[in-house]
Amino acid sequence: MNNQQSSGANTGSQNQVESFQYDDDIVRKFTLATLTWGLVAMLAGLYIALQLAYFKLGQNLPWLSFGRIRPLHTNAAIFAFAGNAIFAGIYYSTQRLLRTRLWSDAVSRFHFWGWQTIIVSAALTLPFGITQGKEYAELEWPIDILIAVVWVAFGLNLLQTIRIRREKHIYVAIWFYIATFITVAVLHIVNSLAIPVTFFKSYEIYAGVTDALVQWWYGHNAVAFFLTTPFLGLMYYFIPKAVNRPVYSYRLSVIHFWTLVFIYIWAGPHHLLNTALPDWAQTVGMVFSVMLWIPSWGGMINGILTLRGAWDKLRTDPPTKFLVAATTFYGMATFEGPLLAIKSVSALAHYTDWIIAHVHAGALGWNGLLSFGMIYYLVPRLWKTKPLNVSWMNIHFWTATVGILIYTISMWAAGITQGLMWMGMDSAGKLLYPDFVQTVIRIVPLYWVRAFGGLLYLSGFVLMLVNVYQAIQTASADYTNEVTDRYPRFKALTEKLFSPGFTHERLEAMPMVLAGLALVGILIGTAVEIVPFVTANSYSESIYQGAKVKHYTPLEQAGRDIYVREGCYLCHSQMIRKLDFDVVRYGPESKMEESMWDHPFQWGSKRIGPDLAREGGKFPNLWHYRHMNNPRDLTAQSIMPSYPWLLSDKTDFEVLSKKISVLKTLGVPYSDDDVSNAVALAHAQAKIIVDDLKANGATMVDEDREIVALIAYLQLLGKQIEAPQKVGAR
Amino acid sequence: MIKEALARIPLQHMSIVGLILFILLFAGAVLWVNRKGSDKVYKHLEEMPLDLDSDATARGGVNE
Repeated sequence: MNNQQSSGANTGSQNQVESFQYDDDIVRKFTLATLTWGLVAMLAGLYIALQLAYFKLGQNLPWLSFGRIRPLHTNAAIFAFAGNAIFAGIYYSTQRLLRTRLWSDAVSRFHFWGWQTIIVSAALTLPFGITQGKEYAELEWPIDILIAVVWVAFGLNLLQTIRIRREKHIYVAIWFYIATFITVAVLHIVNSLAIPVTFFKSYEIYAGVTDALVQWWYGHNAVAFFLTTPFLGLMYYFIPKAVNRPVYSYRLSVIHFWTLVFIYIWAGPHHLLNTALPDWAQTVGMVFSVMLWIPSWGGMINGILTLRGAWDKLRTDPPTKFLVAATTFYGMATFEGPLLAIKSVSALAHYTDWIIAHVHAGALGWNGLLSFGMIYYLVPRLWKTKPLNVSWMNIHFWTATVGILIYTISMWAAGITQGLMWMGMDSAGKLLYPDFVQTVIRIVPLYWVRAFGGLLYLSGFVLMLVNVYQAIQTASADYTNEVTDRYPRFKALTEKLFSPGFTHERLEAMPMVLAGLALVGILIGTAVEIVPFVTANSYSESIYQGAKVKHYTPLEQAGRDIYVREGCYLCHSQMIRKLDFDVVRYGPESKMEESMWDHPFQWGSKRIGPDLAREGGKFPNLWHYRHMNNPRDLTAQSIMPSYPWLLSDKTDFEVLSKKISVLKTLGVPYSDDDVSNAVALAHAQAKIIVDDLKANGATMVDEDREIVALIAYLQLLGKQIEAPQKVGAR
Repeated sequence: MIKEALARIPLQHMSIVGLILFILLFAGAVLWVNRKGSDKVYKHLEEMPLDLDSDATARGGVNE
């Protein structure tokens, strides 16, 4: 498996110098993939930004609706653009820091092509509504399995490369890479556990509050360990390289690593503040989020101060400019994150566009600019080209920076405006803006501004594509010749480790010990937060002794699956928070029991439209029928897309028995009769709804239309608890 | 049995427990990086990315 081209001259019994080649071909592949998928991700982002400003865009086309393209945008940005950038940077820097070629060419290629297959699979499934309905974890189970396999291949290649290294010490960037591999593996596997119904449909094993906590433990730490730790590793390698200075404080980088890895994993519940999540978990999430200021700013300062004595590089060297601006955005985003995790701030900001601003300051500013700086640094070296056009790089830098600022400032304004409007109540306790759409139309102009900011950012990126393309045209004819380096062979690791006088130096040179400690670090927080929720259903039932929590009828479940398919959760929450203005607007606060049979939970994270937790019974069936066909018929200023296909497409009744059977396996209290009679039960309930619709004037509606199942589901929301709540039982 | 045991854990104290763990980790990390004799190690480590002998690519070719 070893791909080393070793030939060497002996310079002594302990220092046999060997020559070897770096595998830069794989780095080139990941670099080009980064640029390709970056374009796709940004185009998709611009498209959905324009849809919010102008709802008619893509109207009546199911596969281009906001709820289906938004996951495509997020997956493309995170896993395709940032993912490929990470792999390019990791494979380039790891080989050089460890003075060895990657362990296996075959595994590297499997990693590359496997990852691209995952991305293409996502692009082919998400627009068709094939989704698990959990943010940033939408991909269905066959793709999830492929992700796990490819990720393990990446980890194997990384760890084995470390094993065969020639450099004894492991630079801190590699520590961040190791933590990335281990934690993302744990996150992905735990969060993706599901039972398949068909090849394109599965149900998560978790439900309700447990699913919410696991999902945001995953979601938050996907940001932490996919979009932060690997990029910090890249920062610790590429900034010193670009400015030709050692990192400001290596000691600080070590403290940065351990504190970040330990703290980050606890902070997930800050996505669920003021919700039905138990207060202790919310407090843990908030406290640890605030503590994140310490390592985040330690790392940011460490990165920026690496320029000490070389500040002129900011003026003269565009890659440095990108890298340092990225680190600055990292500092800003990681200041804003803990701020948003304070409960009282979250009350205003959560579900609004302030969160979108925060996310994009990180994605566009931190991940985007750092990737661009890294690629500008790498292209002349990987292809042996003439220098890239400096003027164009500078234009790219300013269009990107100004684009991000326009984006974030407009979304701050939109988020704070809408949040304050939601909170607005008069002295009598009445809402100042009772009609939700009032708060939407106020911010639509800002959606145009946001789209302009995104367009600027995209324009700069297109300039980068042209710049890189033109540079590659000047590539040296021998650029594919592998770069040869020489370095003494590293004495057998085991011989070192087990020799007398074990010291700290050796501990920091032991990758598996490092990996083990990092794993322990993340598992402590994981165990504290997740394990108590294994019992959540049992104690939640005890709160409402005697109460019965309804599970979905087969037709309601079919409707729920349509709700998930269309990505309704991306615009509508199903969680009325323990806040006066939420309760006055939507009804009594949501209880955790109400979603205890929800596989997956659909609490949502954004309110582009109103909360739906107590939607059931608010409006007659015909209202929903007409609303889904054209929301403007009922709310003139609505920006919600129309869903006319729900009135014509048919519900798949035949698969219902299998669906109910799987849910029964997961603990939903269906009887055997429910499973065997699922289709008949669904038809019976559908007939009642259709009769009601026809009696009120609807025409051309049959029992098997998707709109009927969706109405059945919507009309149950908020009516899951059958018996009244026992006063004082909590 | 496990569920019952978990149900008895005073979860409201978890923030304090976590905070104490973090302080211990932070103090341990500070002591660790300032241990006696670490200067030499960290000097070597911080120079690693800059070691031009290992970055033949920077000069666009073979480093032999």
